[in-house]
Amino acid sequence: MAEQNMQTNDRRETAIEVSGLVKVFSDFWHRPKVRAVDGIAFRVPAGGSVFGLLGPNGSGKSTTIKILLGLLMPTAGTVTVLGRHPRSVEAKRSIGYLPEESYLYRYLTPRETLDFYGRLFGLDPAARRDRTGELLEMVGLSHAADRPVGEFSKGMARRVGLAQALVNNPSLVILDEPTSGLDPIACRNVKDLILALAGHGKTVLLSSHLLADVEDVCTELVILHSGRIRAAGLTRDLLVRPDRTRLTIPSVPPDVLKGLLADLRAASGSDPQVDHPSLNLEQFFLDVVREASRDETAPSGASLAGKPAGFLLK
Amino acid sequence: MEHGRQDAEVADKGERNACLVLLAAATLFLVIAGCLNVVCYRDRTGRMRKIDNLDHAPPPVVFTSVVLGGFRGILSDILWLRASYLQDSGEYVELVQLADWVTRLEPESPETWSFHSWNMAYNVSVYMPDDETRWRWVQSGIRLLRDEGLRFTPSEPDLYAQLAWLYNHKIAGFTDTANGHYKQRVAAEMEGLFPGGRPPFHDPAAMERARQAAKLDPVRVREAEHKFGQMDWRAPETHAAYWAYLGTLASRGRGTMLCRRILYQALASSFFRGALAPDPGGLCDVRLTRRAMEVPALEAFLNVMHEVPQAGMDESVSNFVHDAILVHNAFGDEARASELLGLLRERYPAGNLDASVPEYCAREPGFAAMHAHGAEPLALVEGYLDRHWRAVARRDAVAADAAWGVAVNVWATFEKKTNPAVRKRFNVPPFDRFARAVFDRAIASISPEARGLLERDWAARMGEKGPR
Amino acid sequence: MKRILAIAWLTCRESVRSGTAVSLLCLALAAVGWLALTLQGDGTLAGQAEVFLRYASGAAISILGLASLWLGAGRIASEVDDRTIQTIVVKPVRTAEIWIGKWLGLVLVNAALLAAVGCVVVAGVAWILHRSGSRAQQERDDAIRRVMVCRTPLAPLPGAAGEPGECETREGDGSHDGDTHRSARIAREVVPPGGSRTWTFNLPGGSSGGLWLQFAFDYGSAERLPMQGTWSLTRPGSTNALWAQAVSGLSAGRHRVEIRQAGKLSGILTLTFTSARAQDTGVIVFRPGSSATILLGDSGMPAQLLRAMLIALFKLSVLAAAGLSCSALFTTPVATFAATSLAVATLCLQYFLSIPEGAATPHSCSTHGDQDDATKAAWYQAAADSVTRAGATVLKPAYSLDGIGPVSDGLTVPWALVGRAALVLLGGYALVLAALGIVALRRREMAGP
Repeated sequence: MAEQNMQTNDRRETAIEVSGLVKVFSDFWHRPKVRAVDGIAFRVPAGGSVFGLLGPNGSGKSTTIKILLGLLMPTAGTVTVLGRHPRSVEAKRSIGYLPEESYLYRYLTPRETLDFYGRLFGLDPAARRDRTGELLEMVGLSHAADRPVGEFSKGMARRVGLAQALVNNPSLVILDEPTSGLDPIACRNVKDLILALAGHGKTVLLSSHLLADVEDVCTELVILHSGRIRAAGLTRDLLVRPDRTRLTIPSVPPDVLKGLLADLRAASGSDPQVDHPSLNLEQFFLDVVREASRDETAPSGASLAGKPAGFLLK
Repeated sequence: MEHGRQDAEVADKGERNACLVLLAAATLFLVIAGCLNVVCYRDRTGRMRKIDNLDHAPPPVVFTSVVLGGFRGILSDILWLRASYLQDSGEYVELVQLADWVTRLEPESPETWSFHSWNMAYNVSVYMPDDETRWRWVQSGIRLLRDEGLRFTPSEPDLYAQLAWLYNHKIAGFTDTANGHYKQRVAAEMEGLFPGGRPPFHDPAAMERARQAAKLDPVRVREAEHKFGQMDWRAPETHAAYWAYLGTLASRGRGTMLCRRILYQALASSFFRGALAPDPGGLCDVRLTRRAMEVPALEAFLNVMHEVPQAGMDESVSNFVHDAILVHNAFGDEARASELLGLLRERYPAGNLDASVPEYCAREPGFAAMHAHGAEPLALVEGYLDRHWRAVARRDAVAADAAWGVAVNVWATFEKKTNPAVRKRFNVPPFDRFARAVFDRAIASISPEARGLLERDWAARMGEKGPR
Repeated sequence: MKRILAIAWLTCRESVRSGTAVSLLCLALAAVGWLALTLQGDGTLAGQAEVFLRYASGAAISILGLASLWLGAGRIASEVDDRTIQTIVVKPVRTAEIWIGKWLGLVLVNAALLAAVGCVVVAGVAWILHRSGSRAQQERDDAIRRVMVCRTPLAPLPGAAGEPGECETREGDGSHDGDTHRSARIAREVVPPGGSRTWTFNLPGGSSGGLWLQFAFDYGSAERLPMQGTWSLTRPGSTNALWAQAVSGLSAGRHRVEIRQAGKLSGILTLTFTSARAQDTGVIVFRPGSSATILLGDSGMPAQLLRAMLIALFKLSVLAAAGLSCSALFTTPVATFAATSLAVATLCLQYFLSIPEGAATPHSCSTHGDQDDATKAAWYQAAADSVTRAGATVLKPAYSLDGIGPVSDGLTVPWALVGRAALVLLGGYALVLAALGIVALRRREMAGP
């Protein structure tokens, strides 16, 4: 019984476990063509983490994600998702997935899309209705809720995709290139959403090649190249430079600065660099746009999204 | 920037040259393909019995031919199988439509047209419960050939022969118990188009109506009349002769033997029973000879005989000439009868042909002789009745009595040797009606002074039922 | 079930919004309209209406059948190609639910289209029967009674000899120099002049509507003399005729005679045909299997057409299943080709079945007289024949399920036939195809590299 409890605990603590995963794509005659994933192994802890899967194009990120979701079958290795086989229906009840492109039914409106996927999750009509409203509000598409998705721009379709990934209030959210096609504001909102989800105990698996986005949100990451893991670990541990120290202070008179630099030079034996810190471009952009939107009406496309839907944070 | 512009110009020029080369190559290939197509087409028409391509086809047929391509044959077979199955089961409702579709899928195949028209006119019609329904099926068979088949394959003599055969055998013949009804319907239709059975050449609109309704080409009708003499177009034999004649023209001599055989048969029938007598009752059962048709009929016989010098053909010609002699003699035209007897002596010197015409005819005067040779005994009766009234007109009582006696004798023999059912099938009218028609024709052609004699003779001989 | 219905509803909505359903409807209605204007019957009003009913329904069903096949063939394959299926597969939906949901959606679309076509066909029949023309009112009335009313055929009971369809036949006193050229079994169907033949029927009580007698016969002599005689209905053992009708001059084929009688007839009845003893009476050979049938009850043609359309819907469902299963296996163009080939082969096999066993097939005569080549060719021919016959036999139960034919012949489509069609087509063929499709879908990878 104790052993079982330990195993159960292990299962609860691990959202995804991959071991020795290999995927080889073959042609019609079963001749191996591409070895997309070559023996990778990693573990995504459950409850409140954001796990990043990084790598250049063709590194095997999307392939790995598709295997985790049961869209592809591994050539070798084992994969468990939420303690179950990736193709298990039970596992899928708690998963939300945003694909790298928005593969939506172009003749459905966003409202119908979310309602349809809600029905697939077995939600009752009232819940579907409420969640649809909240999600559309969250992604800023309330005003376009009854337009066919086929008429949407890429960014708007992406938002619908994000909404459908969250309709079932999943405990594991898998996002493949979540900020692709989104403007900077939307990117920021997505990142905030990811952090909010993680903050409320959900596990987020994020795949991207936009490093700035990943750096902002991921607590742990794995870097793939040519189907193999090249680096893995906590983000702060991977990025920190223990051999350097940065000191940030308010502006001081030049003579005080000069004295400080002389002391540092004498103590360290090296020549410290001094400059004024700058905002990052994303933050600057957001400030400018926020100020402008106070004076003007909202654009016809996607508007500034609101905060995360309430049901996601329960 | 200068270099960039130069590079762009070079690239444009290169693209233009490439387009020109491709265009030239495409033109060359098209020309070669066109030349090859001529060769292939020649080869194809040589292999197949296709007589015409689909130039004459209506758009739906061209569409199915192009779209379905080689699958036409399979679809045609499936529909044909269905038609056969339905027919074997006694289900006839769909046959007209199926025949239409099968023939449209294979419009270039004369056998298909021929089979389906014959099938409807012969096989299906006999299973119909009443004469009118039977006529409808015969008409469907005729229309399939006349209105559609000949449109697609206007140079196929077999189709003309088949159409002529339908008129000559199915309608003009006596094998079908409903043939009388068919004759009536043809007569009624043609009376509406050619009043009195004569083409209204003076009325182009009427001739055009006839072309639309019965596909009678005014030019060809005139040609036929010129070649064969005046015909009664209410009679089915006339139509048989017309279509057979068109068949001899259509293929420019190739494969027309069947048409020419049917032509002489139709013209012979037109001679023996050529014209419909005026009939207020609409029964159309009194037919009178057209002696003028004998000459073109004989010509048609001889035309075939020259090419088919066989014993069977010899017999056909000699039988016709023999019957013609009897008929001309019955009408008192000894000169023509003598000419024909001379022809018999010259070509078929067998039997006792040295006798004179009266002696020759006296040996075989009656119905039995004519019936043995298949000609119409009524033509003989008509001739003797006509001779009788002309004798009455010139006050020759002896000749008049003799002729009357022979006519009545032949009629009596005919009645004795046939039963009412056979006479019904042969549409033989009662004697009084038949005699009246001959009488009316005779009285119209003699002087007014002699008409009184004929009227008195009629009253005397036909005052009560039956002849005396 | 909810997921299946959700996917089915998605399929329906897509068919409507993409214009597919509307296009199909327009195509089917255009075919029906064109046929109404161009079809030729046998020259009678009733014949024209019957031919239209059969071929318009058939054409529309054929169009919808091909469309079902192609839509099914494109359904899953196209979603795999454009990856929309990924958003479903990652949801808690079983593979079987995906397949069944898509199939059910196609079935619902077909049901709606068939309903529309059925209404237009009925309207077309009514238009043909009522349009102005030179037809006599009597002919029009007769045609309406024949086409717009369907009747249930009642077969005779097995005869005293115990063999199905065998009935008592008595020879006439006089001999007739007839010319029957059928086997001894068929000789039982022969009725010479003066002879008679009886059948026994058990009429159900309480049947409303008229009674009709339908009989079919061929000529038994070379002279093709018509049928003349009397038909009568009596109670067994009684000579009092409850109904009698003289017939004369009937030519070979199928005929219907209305049984007009006072009061309702029910229970065991004996039907007798007595041939007239006259010179112009023919020898009658009743057709085995369809010699005499009593048609009873009056049911409106539209109601029967509805049942026939149900059977057609089941057939379309099988085609949709075939398309879907091919779609689960192959990419869109290959699936379309495979499904179409399957359908064409199935259609051709139906006609192959009509060729009798052992029918002479032309030998491929070798001009060089090589015995080995001839033997090989014969072997291949025999093997091909066996394979095609086996395929045709497997499909044979489906071929006999037809509702349109009986309706156009003025017969009812019993619910038993509809039920049997559901069992065979849905419970048999569709189920097998579903199993194949679901297995194929499960094994298929829904994403590419």
